[in-house]
Amino acid sequence: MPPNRFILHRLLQMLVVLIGTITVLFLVIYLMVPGDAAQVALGDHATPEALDTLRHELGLDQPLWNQYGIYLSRLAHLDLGTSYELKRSVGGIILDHLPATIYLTVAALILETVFGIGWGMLLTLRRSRRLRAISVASGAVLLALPVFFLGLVLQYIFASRLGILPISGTGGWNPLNLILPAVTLAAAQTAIIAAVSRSSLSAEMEKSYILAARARGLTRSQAMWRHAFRNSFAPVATLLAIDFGTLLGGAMITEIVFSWPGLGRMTYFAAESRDVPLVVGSVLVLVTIFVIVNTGVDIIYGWLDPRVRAGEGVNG
Amino acid sequence: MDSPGTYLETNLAPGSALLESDIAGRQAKRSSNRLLVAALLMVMGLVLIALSVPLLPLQDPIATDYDHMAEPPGAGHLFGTDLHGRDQLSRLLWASRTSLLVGVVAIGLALLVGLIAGGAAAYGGSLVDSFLMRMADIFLSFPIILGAIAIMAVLGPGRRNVFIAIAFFGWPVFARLFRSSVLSVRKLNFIAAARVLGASDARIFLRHVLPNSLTPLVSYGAMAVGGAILAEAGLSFINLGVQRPNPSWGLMLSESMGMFEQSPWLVIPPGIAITVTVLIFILLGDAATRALDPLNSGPDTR
Repeated sequence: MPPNRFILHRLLQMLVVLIGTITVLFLVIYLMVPGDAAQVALGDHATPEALDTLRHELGLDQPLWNQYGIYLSRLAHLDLGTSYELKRSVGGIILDHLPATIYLTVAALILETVFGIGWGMLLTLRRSRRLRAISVASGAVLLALPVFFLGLVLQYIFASRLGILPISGTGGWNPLNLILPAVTLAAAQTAIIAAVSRSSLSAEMEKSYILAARARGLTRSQAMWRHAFRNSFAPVATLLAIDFGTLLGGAMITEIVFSWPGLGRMTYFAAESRDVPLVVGSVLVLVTIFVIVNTGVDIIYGWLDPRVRAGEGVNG
Repeated sequence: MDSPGTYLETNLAPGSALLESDIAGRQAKRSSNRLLVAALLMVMGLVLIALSVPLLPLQDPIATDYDHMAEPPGAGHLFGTDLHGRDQLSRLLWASRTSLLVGVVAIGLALLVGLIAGGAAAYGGSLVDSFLMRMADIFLSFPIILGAIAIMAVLGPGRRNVFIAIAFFGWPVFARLFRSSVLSVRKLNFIAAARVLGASDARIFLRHVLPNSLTPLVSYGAMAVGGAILAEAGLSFINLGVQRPNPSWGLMLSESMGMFEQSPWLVIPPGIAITVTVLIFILLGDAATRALDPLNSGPDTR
């Protein structure tokens, strides 16, 4: 596929996924709410008149198809509706909480890049069976550990016991406060990055150009740094980009454990009070960021690597 | 281990290298089968515990006793009591039923939907195929916990809704795996042979395509059960899953948040229970991948 057609193709695909996502969320709100949104908003003790007024305001007295149209045109004007609980615009509330989540996510992403790739490199260079067995086992444990349990354990060790790190909150954006939540959030994905970068790097190290480099007198580690690393990076980078979205969405429980004032924790409070517009709005924003980042990475890799353009894209 | 010799040597003597890798391959096959048996035994152990819980002489997991709140492990209560004076051991064991049930039911639902959607995509022509695969893309763009939150906000919390939420966002991977697996199995020679021998389409699908296409779903499914157990624990931890006073490991941790110093027996056992259970399913998935993959002839020593 020529580059421009590839980009167009991916953008169209992204548009389809985004519209689909919006439709799924719309159907979730309008078909699954027991009773209707007005009932949920006003509670069980609302008067019939108040319900009717709100239904009219929300357009609930119109057929589903019209409601869908209204919903889409509101979204096109970046209007995500009004929160039932806070009586403020959903967009404004999300913008207030998004920076904290991005701050945490980027920190976790950096940790996972450095430690995941470093771990993968170490396993490639030191091909010892015992090290590999230990590493596979600890990776599996990291994957199986629930984030909240890891968070509680880290809080206990580093905050309560050793007293070297703050237990929760942002402490006025003190970088020390970022360490524990970022480590907690990054742990499971670090194990995955390590596994992927090890297998990608090891496969690259088996290629004949590395043999040629070794024949020229480079050590394994020099050959890895100078040649194999760059060529093995694509799958790792793709995974990291996908992880950005995963972490963004997955930050919720970490934010709750560490009282981190981000979008996930806010969404959780909204879900608890069944503030449907706020929950749906923030899920929509997070999913949109996720889809856009993935498409962007696909396009960049398609641009850089013709093999991707020919196939279905790095993400399959 | 940075010995420049090994790689060169094996390459300069291709015959011996081939022999070696064959022996290594058979050894690996045997050891991966052993791993699978071990993983299956562990899963059976878990199931056995969960099934036998009602028969064990345990205290009531729900009955509160405000004279014995947050007592450390001792003679009367082997694992201590929680903040409501309930027996911690009994709650831990009863919660294993919740976790396994959620894992099996939610992933069973996701698998069922995935099989139907994936089969329809593989057999239904290109229009149905691209529609279903775009649907899969759409559902895959939701991180599962976020999607679940949206569903819980709408349907309300509770165990049944945990099943729905996990299956709702869990089916696309099964659909994709089954579709691509059916497509590749259908191209194999023995399918053509069966057709030549006069087998009907239905027979070919049921006897040949279906059983041979399930392999990748088995290993992914085992890991997905672990994922579902983690998701249930997470949702219950944030009070959107299993509701009080029913026992769930996630809920037990949520109730004892901030109690780590005073009563570690309330925090560590449920955390370890989740980790070990999920670990067993990850192990099962990994072992199944190794043992069922006919192309896996050697240990991944690269």
